[in-house]
Amino acid sequence: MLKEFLFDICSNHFVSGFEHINGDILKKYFKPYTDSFEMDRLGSYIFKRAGSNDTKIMLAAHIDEIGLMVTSILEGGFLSFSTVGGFNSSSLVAQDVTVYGKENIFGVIGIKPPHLTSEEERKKPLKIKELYIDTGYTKEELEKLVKIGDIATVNRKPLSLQGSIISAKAFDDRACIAVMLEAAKELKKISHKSNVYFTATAQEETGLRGAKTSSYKIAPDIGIVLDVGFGKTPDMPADSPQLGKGPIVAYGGRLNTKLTKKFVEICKKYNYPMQHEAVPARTGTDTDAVQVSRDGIPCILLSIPLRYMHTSVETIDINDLEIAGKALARFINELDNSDLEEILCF
Amino acid sequence: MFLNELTELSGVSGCEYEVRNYIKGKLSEMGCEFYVDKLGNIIAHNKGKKNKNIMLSAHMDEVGLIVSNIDSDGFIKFKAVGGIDQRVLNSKVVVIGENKIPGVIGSKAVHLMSEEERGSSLPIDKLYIDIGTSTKEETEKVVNIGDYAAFKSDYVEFGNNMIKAKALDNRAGCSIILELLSQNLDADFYGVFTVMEEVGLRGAETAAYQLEPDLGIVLEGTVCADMPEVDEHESSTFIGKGAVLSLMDNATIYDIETVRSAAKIAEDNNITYQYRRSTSGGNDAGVIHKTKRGAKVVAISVPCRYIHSSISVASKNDIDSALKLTKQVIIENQKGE
Repeated sequence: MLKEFLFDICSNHFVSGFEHINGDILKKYFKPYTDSFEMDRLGSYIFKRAGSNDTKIMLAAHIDEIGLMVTSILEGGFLSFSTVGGFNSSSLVAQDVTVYGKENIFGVIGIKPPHLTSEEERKKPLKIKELYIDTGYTKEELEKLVKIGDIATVNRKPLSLQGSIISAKAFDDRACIAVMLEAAKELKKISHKSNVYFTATAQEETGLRGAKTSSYKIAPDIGIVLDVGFGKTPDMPADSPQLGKGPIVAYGGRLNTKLTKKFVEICKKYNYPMQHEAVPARTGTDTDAVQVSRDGIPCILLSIPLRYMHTSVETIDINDLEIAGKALARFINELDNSDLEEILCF
Repeated sequence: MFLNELTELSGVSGCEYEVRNYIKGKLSEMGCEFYVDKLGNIIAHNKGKKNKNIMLSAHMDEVGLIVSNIDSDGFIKFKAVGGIDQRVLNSKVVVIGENKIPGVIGSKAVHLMSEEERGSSLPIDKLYIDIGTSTKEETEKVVNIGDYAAFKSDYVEFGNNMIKAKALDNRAGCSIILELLSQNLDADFYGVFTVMEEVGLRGAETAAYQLEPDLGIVLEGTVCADMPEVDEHESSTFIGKGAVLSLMDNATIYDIETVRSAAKIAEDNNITYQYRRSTSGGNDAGVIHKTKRGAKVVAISVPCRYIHSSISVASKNDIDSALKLTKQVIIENQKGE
C-alpha cells in the first residue's frame, strides 16, 4: 500500500514552485484519513485530522523535488536549462527527461561519445551549462511546444530491488510523505486528542519556504519534521546509518531536547528500531524554518536513511517508512496522555 | 522493423545470447539458411544472382559492464566492457545476468563530496551497483563475479521521427541486415551478425576468414555529435542527413572507388547520404579488409547521437536511407559486367 502510493506519487512531478500541478494525487491518498484540507499561499498542502483538545501537532515533509527549468530554445531542437534546487550535474548525463511544455515533450541529455573526447575531457565533470536537452524537433517546431520557464524532470520508473528496497527519483522527500500517510492511517484507528496537521510543504529544496509559511499558518504547539538522511554506501564511514534499521533521530541545537528524548523513550518502550545522529547546528531540513516560526516551535527531526540523494535512483527500505509512521502515531498518542506543558517547559 | 525488440535485449560483448537467439528465431521464421560459427557469429545466406562474394556485417554486441567484485555490504563493483565514458554511468538502472536482476549505479551523494571530489568526474572504480541487498552472501544468491550488466533503457519514439534506445550501436545495423534478408532479393549476399566488436573486432575476423568476401559491407551505428557548441567539422555526422559513408577511421582506409561508387548509387537513387568526417573509432571493416588476401570494404552507417550510453538517438529516416543504400549497393554489385 505504501509502495503503491510511493510509486504513484513518484511518477508525478512536484518541482519546487510547481507543486500545485499534481496536487489531486496527494489529496486522493490523504483525504480518507483526514477531516479537512487547506493550503498556505506558497502551495503547501495541509491535511488536518481533528482531535478533541486544543493541542496542535504539525507533521512536515516536503512534497517538492529538484527539477530543471528551460532557459533557451536552440538551433537543432536543443534546450538549455538551469536547475531548480541542488543537482549533481553528473547525475543528469545520459538521462531521458520530460519537458512539461504545451504537451509533455520527451528529451534526452546526452554528451559527445568517447570516440570524440580526450581522456582529459572525460575526467572533468560536466557543468549544467554544458548540458542540453535534445528533443528531436527543429527549433521552429519546438518553439510552438515549449516556453522559456517550462520545467522538466528526469524520467525514472520506480523500481523494486531485492527484498523491501525500492528506488526512484524524489524519494527525497516523498518517502516521508509516505511516513505521514502511514501515521495518518494509524491515527485513524485510535481516538487521539491532539489536532494533527499532515503538512506536505512546498519549496523546501529552494530554501525551506513552504515550511515557513505553513508553520505560521498552523501555529502548532510542536513540530515533527520528516526528511531523508544519508544511508550508508561504500564511500561513507562504517558507522553511518543504514537502510532497514529504522528512522534516524536527530539531536542538536535546533531540536527540542526533552521532546526528542520523549520520542526515543517511546520507541524503546514499543520496540521500534531507531538510529541516531548528532546534528549540531543547521539541519538542512524544514526544521530550520519551523523552529523559528512565530514565537518559536519545539521540534523533533526524524530522517529516513536514503542512498544516492538528489539523483534519479534514490534508494530506500520501505520497512523504515512503516516503522517511522507507526512510531509517530504511537508518539502522538502518548503525548496526548502526557503533560505536554511539562515536557516543553524549561 | 526489428529495432524496437532488438534494442531491448541485453548483448554485452561476449554475452550476446539474447540477441543471437532473437535473430536466429527471426531467420528461421523467414526460412533463411544460416549457421552459427565457433565464436558465436550468425552467418546467414541470401541466395540469388551472383557476381561477387558479398558479406554484410553488423555486430550484435553492445558496450556494458561486467561484475568484478562484491563487497561485504553486498555492493557490486564492476568494470566496463568496451569504451564507456565514466560520466554516463552515474544514476542509471542496469540489469544483471540471465535473470536480469535490476540494480542502480550509485555514488557518493553530492552533499557529502569534498570540493576536490566535485571537481573531477568519478572514475569507474568509485562507482558500484546497488541491488538492494545488505550483505555479500545476499548478493551472491543472485549475482556473481563475471556476470554481465546491461543498461536498462526503453525504446522510445520522439520528436521528428527520432528513436531513443540503448545499443543503437549496433542493433541499427542488425535490423537493416535482418530487413534485407527478409526481402528475398535476387542478389546473393551473406548477412553476418558478429560478436565482440566492442572488445576488438573479434567475431568479424573469423567470419571473414570463413567467407572470403570480395566486398565487405559493414552496417553500423556511428558517432554523431551535431550538438550545440560542437564545431561542424567535429560533429563527424549529422542526424537526419542520411546514410553515412566512411572514408577513413582508426582501423580502415576504405577503398575509395567503392565508396565513391556507393555515393553515386545514392545520388542516382535519390537516397540521402553524407560522409563521416571524423577519423576516430573503427568497426568490423578493420579486420574484414585484412583477411586472407584482403577485401574491398565500405561502411554504411546510421548517425547515432550519444552512442555508448544508455540513451543513444537515431533518426528513422536515416535508418531508412542506410537500408535503401545498402540494398542498391548489393543489387548494383551483383548485376555483373
